[in-house]
Amino acid sequence: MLNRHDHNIILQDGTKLSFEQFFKENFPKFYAFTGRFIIEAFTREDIVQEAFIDTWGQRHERFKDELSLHAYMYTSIKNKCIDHIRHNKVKEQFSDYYLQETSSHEFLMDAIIDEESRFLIHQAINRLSPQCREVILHHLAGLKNKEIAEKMNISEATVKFHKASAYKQLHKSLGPLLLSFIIFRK
Amino acid sequence: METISIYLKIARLVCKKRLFGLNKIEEEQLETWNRQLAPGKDLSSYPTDFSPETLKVRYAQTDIDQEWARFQQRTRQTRKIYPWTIAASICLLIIGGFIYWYFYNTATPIILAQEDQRNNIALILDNGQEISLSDSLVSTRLAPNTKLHPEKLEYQGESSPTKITYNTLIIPKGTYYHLILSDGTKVWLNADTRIHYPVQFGKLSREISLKGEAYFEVAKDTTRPFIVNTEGMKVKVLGTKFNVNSYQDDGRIYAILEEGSVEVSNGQDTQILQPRQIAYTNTWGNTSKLTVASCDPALFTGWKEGELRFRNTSLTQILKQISRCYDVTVILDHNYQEEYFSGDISYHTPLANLLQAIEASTSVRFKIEGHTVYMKKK
Repeated sequence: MLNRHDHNIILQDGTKLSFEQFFKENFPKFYAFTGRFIIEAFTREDIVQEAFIDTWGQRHERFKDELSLHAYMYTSIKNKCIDHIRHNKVKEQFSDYYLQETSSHEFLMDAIIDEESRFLIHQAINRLSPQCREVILHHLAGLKNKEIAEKMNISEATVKFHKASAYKQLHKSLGPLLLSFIIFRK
Repeated sequence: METISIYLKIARLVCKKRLFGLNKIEEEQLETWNRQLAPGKDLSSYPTDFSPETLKVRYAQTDIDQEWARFQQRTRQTRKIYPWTIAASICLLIIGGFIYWYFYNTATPIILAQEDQRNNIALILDNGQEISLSDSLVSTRLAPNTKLHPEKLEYQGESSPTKITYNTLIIPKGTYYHLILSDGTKVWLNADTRIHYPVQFGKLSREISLKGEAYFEVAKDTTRPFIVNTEGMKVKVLGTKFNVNSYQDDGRIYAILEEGSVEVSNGQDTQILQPRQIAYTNTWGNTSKLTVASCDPALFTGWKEGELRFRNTSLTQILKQISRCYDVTVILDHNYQEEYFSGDISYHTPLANLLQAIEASTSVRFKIEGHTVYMKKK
């Protein structure tokens, strides 16, 4: 008797968020993130599962916005990974140094910014149409319009056209993400 | 949490910068955060590698529908209550109260695992006859190439048979056993396992069936592949050391490779394993992806040295393993929130001590009565 209504989260600003969608979209990202701490696959899956369950258990506390939901997940996963390493220090062949390293602020900052931006790029690119995606991928690899045109065997104007349409699509998917905190700064 | 939110905002700006540049306000914001959090470092140099191939591999390692099914199963108790269900619940409560008042001791406990009906290791011969290996006359009834050692059954010699005949060996809960097949392959059999194999292998292949868990040290023979069939998975090898587990305690069947190379398939997918890799397929839900990941084999093959190794293992899984090792029934007083435990425990530890160790770091309590373990909240 599980239906979709069972898994909604209401945020402080009143938005209703489907936890199923949040879970399915972000599981790969959080799973990849655990790989920075732990190798063993089952443990990693279990840790991500646990973090989602914790987050779900906190839903009545009302998360501020979607961003704080992600922040809560990262914090929870980091703590679980560090706990796990601490418990299995000898077996996992990691030294005290490794534990110190992974619990440092700098490690965490690098790991989160790297994982999050990588995943956002991946998500944004995946939503593009195939032609636009190819143009953007070449662009990311550092190619100039002319080089892209030669590579894809299309005219430079077409490259520009695809780029423009890609930007439009990207703005649509990234825009709301940025808007929320840039606007307040003005 | 606040700092992490800023990391996430930085990541969003970095992503936009990489894809199509930032406007002036955004650029300023990023610089400010960069100065505050990581002076002397360029935060927009992230991420370091995002070629489409790497990203695809990076984010395609898990079976999402399967994970969602697991999540739903584990959060089932915490369902949202709607007004109309409250009214219905009150009615139910009143009726329920009466029932409870009458049969106040019948709150249905959950039987998580049951002790074995069988208490001897049994061998089923090709003609369907079942004999117990603890029977004193057993050796007179075995085939001529079969030798019975203490804790071990050995099939000797290889004369290609005209007709392949099969034996089945059944290991009940609470014990384990060893088997040497006619080609010299060594098999460690865990408790609660059933293995079906030819008395003499044929000329073309060496094929056996398994239900439960076994570790194989396959004798090298490049002309005849060795194939292990289990419900939902097939493992094919030429000569190597690996472990197959098909108990499905947590909805999974898996094979772990220690040495050599094996080919694993689940009907839809086929993968070649490297040493220290695991291949698993999920049996809950309807997707059946075969996933490969690296692992520490020692964590999975401890049982063959008489050790239980738990790493962040769920209580459900631990209790199922305990039921198997100690041949006990496990009963929970009600469904409870999952807890996790890590530790190494020898098979020879008395059950009471093992349960005490688990009690010490979880919120549950155990009571042993004969062959039954009862679990309650502390």
